[in-house]
Amino acid sequence: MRNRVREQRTQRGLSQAELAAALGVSRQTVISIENGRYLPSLPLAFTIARFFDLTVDKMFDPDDEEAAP
Amino acid sequence: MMRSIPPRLRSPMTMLAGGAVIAAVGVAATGWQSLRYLAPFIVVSAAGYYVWSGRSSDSAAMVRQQPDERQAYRQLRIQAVVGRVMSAGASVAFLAAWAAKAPLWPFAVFLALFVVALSAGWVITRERGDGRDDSPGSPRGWLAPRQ
Repeated sequence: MRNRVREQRTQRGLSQAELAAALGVSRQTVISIENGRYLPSLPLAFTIARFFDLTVDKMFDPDDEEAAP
Repeated sequence: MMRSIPPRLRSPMTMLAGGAVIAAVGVAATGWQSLRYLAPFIVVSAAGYYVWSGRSSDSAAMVRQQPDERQAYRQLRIQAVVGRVMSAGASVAFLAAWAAKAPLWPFAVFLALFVVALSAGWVITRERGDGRDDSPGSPRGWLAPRQ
């Protein structure tokens, strides 16, 4: 599953640590989500999407099996 | 009570409390000499845990008992691996004790603990509801005959 977390974060000029603090998770978890190694829970997925003013399906693309870089 | 203790101090304080109990047993069993070895080990371990928990890592978050959801899930998986390895180890130890005609009652205690822990875990983690499909016209529950 591909996601746009890294893309959105860099667009807003945020560091991984800043995003992690805003989401209430660890920096390691942001890294894992960005790399596609960890699929966030539904509540966290909503939190991420709302943080970037996007919908969950815009943020996470289940059709794209080319997961993380 | 634990809530009033800062998260970073919880594990070290638990270690110190547990270490004090172990030290008391050691003193009762072998005298004050055992403290010479136990006390530095306990204090250094607790101090090491405190320092370690200040780092920015998964293990540090687990040590200071503040894991996020990924870290909590990882912690569960680690505990599952540890549980499986310990169970396998206990099985091998049981066979070894049986072959050596050693007392088997400690294994009975652990088997009883296993059953109690499994039952407790099942009850603690159960979800509300009986799993029935309550939509109109649906068969009543999973015991209903298949159509």
